[in-house]
Amino acid sequence: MKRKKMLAVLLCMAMLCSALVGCGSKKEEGGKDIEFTMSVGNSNTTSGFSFDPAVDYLSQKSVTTGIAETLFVLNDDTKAVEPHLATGYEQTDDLTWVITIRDGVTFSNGKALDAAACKSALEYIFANNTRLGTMADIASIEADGQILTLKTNGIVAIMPRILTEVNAIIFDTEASDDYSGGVIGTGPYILKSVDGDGNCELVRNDNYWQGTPVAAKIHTKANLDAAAQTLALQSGELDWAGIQTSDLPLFENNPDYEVLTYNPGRVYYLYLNPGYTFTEDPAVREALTCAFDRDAILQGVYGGRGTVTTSIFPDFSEFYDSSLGQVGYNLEQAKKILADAGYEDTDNDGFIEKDGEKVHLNITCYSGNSFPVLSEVLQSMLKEIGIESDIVVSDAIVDDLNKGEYNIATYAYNTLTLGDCYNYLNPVFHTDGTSNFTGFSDPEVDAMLDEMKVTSDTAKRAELAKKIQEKVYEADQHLFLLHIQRYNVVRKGITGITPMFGSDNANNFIFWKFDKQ
Amino acid sequence: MKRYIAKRLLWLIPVMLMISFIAFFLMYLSPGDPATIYLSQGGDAPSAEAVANLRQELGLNDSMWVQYGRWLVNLFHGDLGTSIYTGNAVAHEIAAYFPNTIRLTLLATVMTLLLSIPLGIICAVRENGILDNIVRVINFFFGSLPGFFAALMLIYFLGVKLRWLPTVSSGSAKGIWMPALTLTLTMAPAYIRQIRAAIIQELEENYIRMAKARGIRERMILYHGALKSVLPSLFTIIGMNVGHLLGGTAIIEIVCTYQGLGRLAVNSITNRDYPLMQGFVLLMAGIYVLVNLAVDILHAYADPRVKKRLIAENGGGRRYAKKKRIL
Amino acid sequence: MPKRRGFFRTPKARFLFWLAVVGLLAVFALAAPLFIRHDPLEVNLLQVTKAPSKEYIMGTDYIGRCIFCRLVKGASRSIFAACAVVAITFVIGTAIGCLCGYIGGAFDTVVMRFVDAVQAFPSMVFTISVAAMLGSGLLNCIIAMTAVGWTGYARLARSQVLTLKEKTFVSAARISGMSRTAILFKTILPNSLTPLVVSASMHVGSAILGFSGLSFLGLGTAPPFPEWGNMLNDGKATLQTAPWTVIFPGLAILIVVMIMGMFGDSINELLNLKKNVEQ
Repeated sequence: MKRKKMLAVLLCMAMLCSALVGCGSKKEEGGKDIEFTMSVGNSNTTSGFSFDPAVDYLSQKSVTTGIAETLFVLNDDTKAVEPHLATGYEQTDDLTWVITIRDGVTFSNGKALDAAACKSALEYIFANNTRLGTMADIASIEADGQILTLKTNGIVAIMPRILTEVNAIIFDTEASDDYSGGVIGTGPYILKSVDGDGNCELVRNDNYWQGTPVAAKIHTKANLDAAAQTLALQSGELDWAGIQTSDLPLFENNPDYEVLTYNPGRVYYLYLNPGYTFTEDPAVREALTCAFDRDAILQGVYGGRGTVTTSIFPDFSEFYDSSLGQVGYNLEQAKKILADAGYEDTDNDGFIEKDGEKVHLNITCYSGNSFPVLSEVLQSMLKEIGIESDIVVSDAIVDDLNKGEYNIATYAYNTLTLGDCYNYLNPVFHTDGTSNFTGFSDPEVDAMLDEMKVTSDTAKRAELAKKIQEKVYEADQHLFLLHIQRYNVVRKGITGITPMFGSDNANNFIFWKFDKQ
Repeated sequence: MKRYIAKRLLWLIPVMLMISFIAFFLMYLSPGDPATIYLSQGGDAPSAEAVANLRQELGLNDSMWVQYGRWLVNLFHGDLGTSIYTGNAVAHEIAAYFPNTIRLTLLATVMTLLLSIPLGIICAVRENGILDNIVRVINFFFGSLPGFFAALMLIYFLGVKLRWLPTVSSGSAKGIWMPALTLTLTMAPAYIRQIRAAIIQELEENYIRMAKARGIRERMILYHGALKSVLPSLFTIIGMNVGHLLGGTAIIEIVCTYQGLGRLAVNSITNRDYPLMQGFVLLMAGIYVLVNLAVDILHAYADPRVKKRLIAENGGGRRYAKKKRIL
Repeated sequence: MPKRRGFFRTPKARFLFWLAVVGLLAVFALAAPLFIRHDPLEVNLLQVTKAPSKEYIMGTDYIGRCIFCRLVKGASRSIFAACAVVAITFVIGTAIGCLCGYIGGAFDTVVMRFVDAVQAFPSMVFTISVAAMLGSGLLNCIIAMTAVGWTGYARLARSQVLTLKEKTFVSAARISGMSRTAILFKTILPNSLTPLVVSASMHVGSAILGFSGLSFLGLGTAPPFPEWGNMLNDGKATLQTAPWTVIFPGLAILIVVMIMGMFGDSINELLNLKKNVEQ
């Protein structure tokens, strides 16, 4: 009996060994037996995960884990649309887009990629993901061999850009009925297992169409907050993570790490509400535009990790024009404007009044982006020009701003979503815009935005964007402060990294060329 | 006694209903519309149309009573609803996190007992001795640390400096040790104090004095007399703390990134994920009530006086000991 | 029982000592803000996260405010908020518990089932839900913690009243023709207070810790006003790069909670001793 058991154990061990050896010898060209652990997304406010592209906003996405890919991608530097699973596109008329699907690509289950598969995936996504569905405004999709034809109801000028979105993935819809636990895609890695929190174990897809991925395995950790990412980088649990700026000194000039910087085109700005108490007065808003010392804010609040700005777009973007922008910091000017408009400190308490009423502003912010800290700094800067203020930290910022009971609100926005300006300009400056919290309304701006919506010519779009900016800067309802930098930290010796542009962008899976020296 | 147990189990239903209603009511009154919060995660405000559609889809336009009633009807059909955030079934989400919470609760409780029973006994036997005083001071120290501060310190020293344990518990085999250790350190002081007090009281009791007088060895007295009679009150402490542990460890779970229900619950409150929060509260309350019932029954079998009292009071007046540590 | 030697020989001496310490703490919390050098709200972006120095003895925080000044200013806020929570829960809980125990019947059943429900609700999740409903802010935190805290006192008071009701001196009072209210206030209440007071004295420390927990979740005091839990939470981001932003508020909480614990212990000892003597 005992002998039998021994034999069984031996046999098992022998099998195990041969399996291990087998794995080792099967190593494909270009692939290495190395593993990496990455942090994906950085939010700790969501638990759980879903790979279903119909479920928006969860940080663990098929694209960021390298399971699935999109038809087009954006160039990291130029933000131009580049072919990926598609080889090209053509707009045959205002409402029709003809897309050629790449030959020779297979899903990780061996099924060949053709237009019919793309049609099935996109139809599912546009029908079930309301945000993308609204953006794409699809009337019908047709598939013929490798030719995919999209017909839209209205003119959708940026269709190829929409198809770079993180949720516009091409996956095998027939592989299962439930996509929440994972999808079958064409990406460089295959989902092997995922736990309840969304931590994934990914194995190399040896048949990947762009070549063999380097690392045999990738582990991703989801939903870590900034502090946890920093600690895990230091303890060696993570090889790659994005970190908060206050922790940069721990990694800069540290021989064990490399810090990568990129500018995602994210602007931090203020809404100055003309519909509420004291900011109704244009003079107050004008004074506010020159009351804040951006350099001090950048250094003090954000540790100098960004660039100060007086305009919406970062200077590398085609929508930026150096001749446009707001006035900079000028304390004396701010005081003078207020004095000229009849504001003065009549009761000598250090704060100004008008007609006997003390000026009191409400600064509304939310807890992300160090905005409570920024608000405290703004409050102290307002005190410099004699304005009293208090701070409200909102749990439901959008609801609260829509109520309109605030004077100043801090906000952050990606100005180059999908590499384009329309997704910022339209919601913020159109009369019916969804992030238009100041009631900004200019018929000319509305007309230009409507025109931009149906214009696919890039140069023309840039021209419109610049004209819109002129109007915006005149109105003193928005105050642009900073473009903030993003920082990724990798362990020294890891190569093959491309910075990730934006957070909601469907870039090529960034880990697939990761290598260790 | 059987009738007593049956009665307590029956009471479970109205209590659970009341709890689920309180949970729903609190969420319903919280500012912020779940649809708007969900749709504005990208940073930009959703269109009124999108919000209206989602509200319709989630049934948020109905009155509070209709919504609660619908949830209740579904509950009786065994359906806890769907999480607003992940779109997965609430039962599925909870099932993914529940085993981890149970594991953490058990491990932390066992570690705490292993630490606090011997220390409590030694301190009681050598009351006001040097060791007793040292333990008292250490107790006060750990009992006075804010939980997340203790967790951060442990993560920094054990995780980053010594690299003994992972800093991120989620997705790691050894991950459970960091939160378990933190919980043990912050919970043990209360246990040690209570065990010490209970044993001192027993040692003062007459029958032990008599045993001493009869010349029975102190160790024998301790094991056969005092320790045995301390067991019931130990049950009570454990029962109370298990209930507390199941939902009250959220902050430590967040700091340690542990995949537990507490973190899930806090996130569901932040996100106004009504169905998820409801499911969580229902489960936790059910466990809490059941654990305490079990404790009372054990208690009653160990001590006839308690049995008599329990039956007399009919379910009221169980936990005399106060709830320690609100957070 | 081996007697302790030295200064703290009797429970009374120990109680008086800790009472004096708590008194000093209260005086300090009230008076110290009068003597600080910097405005605790003054932002100085040129002095961000500076290490402790002669000018700023505990260093500066992430926007250059003096940590020492903020600690001192925040002391009254943190300590008195905790005391408020305890006082309110104590009064409400005791009142309801006494009524339940004394009146009994359907009223008792309904109220105690409600207490059951609140207690079975995971206490922290309950507090967070209430705080989330009311929004952040110190007053709202006090309300949220009160909403949960009173149940413990209610239960304790009720069981005390139930036990005392059967005692001979209560029966004697009843026979002698005292009114129901008089019996409640003159005989039962004074005799049931001991364990309640002990419980309350232990509760102050845990209330301070509770506030720090709520602050950690972003539900604490609204900026820019200093409160210890908030300061600790704010310092979290600079834990490694500027440890003093965390260590000093952490120490402050630790020391005060420890003092409150010792004080509670001494009350416990004193009152239990009295009880034993009476018996």
